[in-house]
Amino acid sequence: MNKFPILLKREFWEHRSTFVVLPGVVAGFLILVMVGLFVTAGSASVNAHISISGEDQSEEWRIDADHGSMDEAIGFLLSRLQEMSEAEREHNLFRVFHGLSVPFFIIMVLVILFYLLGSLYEDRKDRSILFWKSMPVSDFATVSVKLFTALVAVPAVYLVSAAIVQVALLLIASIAALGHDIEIYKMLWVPSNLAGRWFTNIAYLLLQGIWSLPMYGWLMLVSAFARSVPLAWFLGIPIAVSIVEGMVLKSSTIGQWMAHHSSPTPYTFNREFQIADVLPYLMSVDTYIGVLVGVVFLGGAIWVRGRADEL
Amino acid sequence: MSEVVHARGLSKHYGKFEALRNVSFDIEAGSIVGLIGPNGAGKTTTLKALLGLTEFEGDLEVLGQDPRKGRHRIMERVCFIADVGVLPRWLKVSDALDYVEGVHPGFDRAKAEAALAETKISHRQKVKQLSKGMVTQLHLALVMAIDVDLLVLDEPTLGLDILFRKSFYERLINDYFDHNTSIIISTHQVEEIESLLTHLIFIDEGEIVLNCSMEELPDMFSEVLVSPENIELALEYSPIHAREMLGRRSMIFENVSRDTLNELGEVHTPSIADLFVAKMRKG
Repeated sequence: MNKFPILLKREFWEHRSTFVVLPGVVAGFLILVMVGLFVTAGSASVNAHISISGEDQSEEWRIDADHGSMDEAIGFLLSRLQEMSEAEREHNLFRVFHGLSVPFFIIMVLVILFYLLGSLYEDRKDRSILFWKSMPVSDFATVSVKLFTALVAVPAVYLVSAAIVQVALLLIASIAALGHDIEIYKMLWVPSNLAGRWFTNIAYLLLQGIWSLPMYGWLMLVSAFARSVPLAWFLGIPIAVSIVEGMVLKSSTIGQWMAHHSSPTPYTFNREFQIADVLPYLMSVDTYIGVLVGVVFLGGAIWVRGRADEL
Repeated sequence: MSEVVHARGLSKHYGKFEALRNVSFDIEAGSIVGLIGPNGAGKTTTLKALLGLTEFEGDLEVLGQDPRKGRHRIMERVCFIADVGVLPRWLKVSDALDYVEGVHPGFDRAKAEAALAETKISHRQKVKQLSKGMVTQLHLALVMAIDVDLLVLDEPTLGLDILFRKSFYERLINDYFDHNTSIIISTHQVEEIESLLTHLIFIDEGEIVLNCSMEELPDMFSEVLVSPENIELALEYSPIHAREMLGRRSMIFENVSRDTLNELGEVHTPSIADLFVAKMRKG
């Protein structure tokens, strides 16, 4: 029998609030704000909207509150959009849409971090490990499903939530543009290239997962063996290793490597990431070493889990 | 397969504390074994070792496999209920049914739902909303719906009221036990399971103090209500336990023939509870 689907569901039952409710609430909040901005034509809202769309653009992007009506502001923005070159238009729209997905990515990273840290610890603490282990599920399957949850399932939910917000913005913008003299499809939909962005994001998140594998493996290993405060072990040992390395070997190679693999790949803040950029990352020796270290940690987590008892 | 469990020289220590000292025993297919001992005697450690839930030294085979190597394979044929409700608080009753159905090939969902229907537990409740007794009921409903070769119950009815305990053991015997299944029950409440057992294992301070079948018991142990004039004589057969009862003296003897004892007074087989007290005091 294929136990994988039910084991994955189990993870979502336990972590419904951070895997499902939280991204839903963030998406709902963002959509509500967007709708609110377009419906209420107050001048304060106009300002807020312009600053989102305009970001760090030059002066001509800004409109004063005196401009008054929402309609006028939208008209102004649309006319600016039309005046731009194709490349400029794509670039500016990308900034807006990517900006909308950034909060999701940041929250997701924190959610995954704390999820993995508790993944093999909480059930020892509340003794439910005795129930889980009384079921015919191997320790390999247990660890694998939790890793899959962190690498694929949770990113997928956050990606979809971000996508929904992006589509909502595109729809709202299109509705707002209806009364204006602008080719909505050509000026908004095509340059937004949402579907293309999503593929890039999927590629990016998978890359991010592979890149972070040593950290994920370490999180699960700590979660499997810590008898208390896994967070202290998770941070403490790498910090101790770095200090010892600095004192004994007078180097910082390992410390830097750990810091490198526990921070996001440069893309998170590099807005012009392309799918083609994935390859060099995937092909690098550094990534291979990281995967190897991650696999060793995960193997350790499975081994420790096999011997784990209630706390 | 006549032996379900084959254990030789099991030892386990937590730091300096020896939880199990060189424990050996066998459990035959179709038997109902009572594992009886005071708190901290090593009951739970023994059961956990059988299930691959803890590390230990020694040779152990459960259904022909070493539980240290293939816990998940053994669990397809073994069920286990730990002493108190260990179901996670966030689990919903309906999800618990889905989960066991999804991972256990021997689970009969209809049977579990029928058992739950007899309780006040609703499918939409979470474990944290259930009382302690209800959590145990839920756990029992799940486990008793699984068809296995060996059922391990560690203090299954602890914290439950007497009505539930009675019906639990009735169901265990009438609905569940079919002579292909073996059951190991650890408990304090000896008298409640006395009539069910086929075998008895007493454990104290990590060692087995008694391991016999219920059929052997009358040959090995006798309780005598000794007449006052025979007390001196009775003491010569070194009773393992003596107590005052209704003005007469009751003594328990081990391996003394009934013919001899008949001369001292009225002889019968001691209850497990009395035997337990006798054996434990001895150590």
